[in-house]
Amino acid sequence: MNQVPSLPLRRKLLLSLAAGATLASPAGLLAKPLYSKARIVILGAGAAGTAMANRLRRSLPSASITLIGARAQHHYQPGYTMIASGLWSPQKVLSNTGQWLSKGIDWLPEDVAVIDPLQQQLNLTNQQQIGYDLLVVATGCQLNYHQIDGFKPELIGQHGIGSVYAGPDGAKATSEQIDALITQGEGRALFTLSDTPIKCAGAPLKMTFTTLSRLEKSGQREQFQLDFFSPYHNRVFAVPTYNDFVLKRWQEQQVGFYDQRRLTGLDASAKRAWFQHSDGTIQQEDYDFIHVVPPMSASDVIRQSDLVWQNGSFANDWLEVDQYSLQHRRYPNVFGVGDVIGTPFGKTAASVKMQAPVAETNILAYLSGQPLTARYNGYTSCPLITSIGRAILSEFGYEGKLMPSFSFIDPTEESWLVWLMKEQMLQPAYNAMLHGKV
Amino acid sequence: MSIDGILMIAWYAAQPWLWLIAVLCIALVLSLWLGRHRHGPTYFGLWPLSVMVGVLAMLLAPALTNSQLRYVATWPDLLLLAVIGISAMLYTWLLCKNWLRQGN
Ligand SMILES: Cc1cc2nc3c(=O)[nH]c(=O)nc-3n(C[C@H](O)[C@H](O)[C@H](O)COP(=O)(O)OP(=O)(O)OC[C@H]3O[C@@H](n4cnc5c(N)ncnc54)[C@H](O)[C@@H]3O)c2cc1C
Repeated sequence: MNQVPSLPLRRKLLLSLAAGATLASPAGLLAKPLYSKARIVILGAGAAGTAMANRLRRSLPSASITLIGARAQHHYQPGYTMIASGLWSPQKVLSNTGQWLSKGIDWLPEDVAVIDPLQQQLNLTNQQQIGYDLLVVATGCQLNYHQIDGFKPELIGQHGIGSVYAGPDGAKATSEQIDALITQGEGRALFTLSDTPIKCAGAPLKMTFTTLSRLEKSGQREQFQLDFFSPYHNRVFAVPTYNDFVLKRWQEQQVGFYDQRRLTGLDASAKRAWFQHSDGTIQQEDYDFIHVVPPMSASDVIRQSDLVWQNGSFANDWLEVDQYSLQHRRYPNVFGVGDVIGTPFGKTAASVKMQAPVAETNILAYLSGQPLTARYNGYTSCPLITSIGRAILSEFGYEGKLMPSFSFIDPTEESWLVWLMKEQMLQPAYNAMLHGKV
Repeated sequence: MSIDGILMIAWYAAQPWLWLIAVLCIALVLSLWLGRHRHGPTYFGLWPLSVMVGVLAMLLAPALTNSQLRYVATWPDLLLLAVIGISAMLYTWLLCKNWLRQGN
């Protein structure tokens, strides 16, 4: 185990705190401002990084808040499903990163190349070196398409290949490939799932359901065979309630289900894919359209740093944090928020909404030498679209416990209202979260 | 979810539609104000017209949101649809009540 750089640092930080500093309010509420001169660096200017920067700017008015992330455009990723289902244009999910940031946040439009948590130093892609007192890691998920033999992201939108995860243009190209399949008048569509944790684990299922809707609408459903390939045993979703619902519905809709099969490679021009069965055998499948879900991990910069989990199921792939406090387990001046963290659940924007106030409260507690009391309960949510026009509000937390937010919405019932939430309300809720307002 | 949170999200959701809300409010205020001197009993047709607009709004709402009427299934769905219909009906009634009078 590494030596933790906390003692001298903590003393320095504590000395810079005003004696009568007030502590943060409980998670969920807005934290009260605290006086600190700490240098806080946030890695990743996506959903989690932006929300954290705005929150910390407000609650630590005298600290320096630096946000590091090269991406000039902000992507509202939950909208990718709507684009890939032919409902939204890519423009609807794009905005400027800068427009979401409060005054007083220093945004460095560079990526981090090396993290040295012992020296509390970062090297950026432009060779700049930056020190920090407290680090918030929010670098999201990395899409490891290269782990599928013969696959390149450039193939998305050609040869019947789609992937909702591949950004707004990739989602649009996916929708066009589905349109091409429908125009063809008959064919076979394969839907895959990766065997790693993935962001919005409902998205591959939603893509299957919305493609079914489009085929039904075309009046030619019978001409098409849809098959779902899952690497897991009799499972497409981690929460049994939703897993059972989906598998039963697919049976009714005549969607073929092949479990314990992991996509290992494909030949784009031959429209052929290879799946590895759990017993090691390789199975070849021909298709007219394939929806590819890439293996995912934290970005390489995290995986190559000492911040990554050292053992257990998240080892070498995800940021090591305590799943409740979101504090790094070995480096107490490092916190993690968003898709990057190695926790059993929590890879949705709705999770970020819950994680951000917890991390904020605990950061303030850490800076003032108080115990960290705020806890993240694993809350994860995504409206699971079951047809274009209706959805189930799936909300759950650690141990797969259902966590419905609204007593009047049955968490297992398909509803138009839940569809409206996805279509109309999720983006405003997300925007409010970015501003640190909810 | 807290009431504060719900109100905040509702405010963010309303922002892109503020222009429409403003247009509808201005139309209503103008209609009530300009028609304030019109007296006499309202035409019998006002109520059926208002109900028709309400029903039309209910029929169109799912389609306008990329959905279908047959997906309006749960009681909160039905309640929402009813709220949309009643709101459209009342708005139409208020908008037209001064203009659909007999004897003016
Ligand atoms: C298809 C799809 C559908 C989804 N549907 C839903 C849904 O319905 N509901 C829901 O709640 N959530 C949904 N999500 C999930 C949600 O979008 C993510 O959980 C959320 O965006 C996570 O935020 P994040 O900040 O952790 O990651 P991101 O928003 O991905 O941001 C990570 C940021 O880190 C940056 N970064 C990466 N590496 C570095 C580096 N080395 N240095 C600096 N910066 C770096 C990236 O450029 C990016 O800006 C969906 C996601 C997808 C892809």
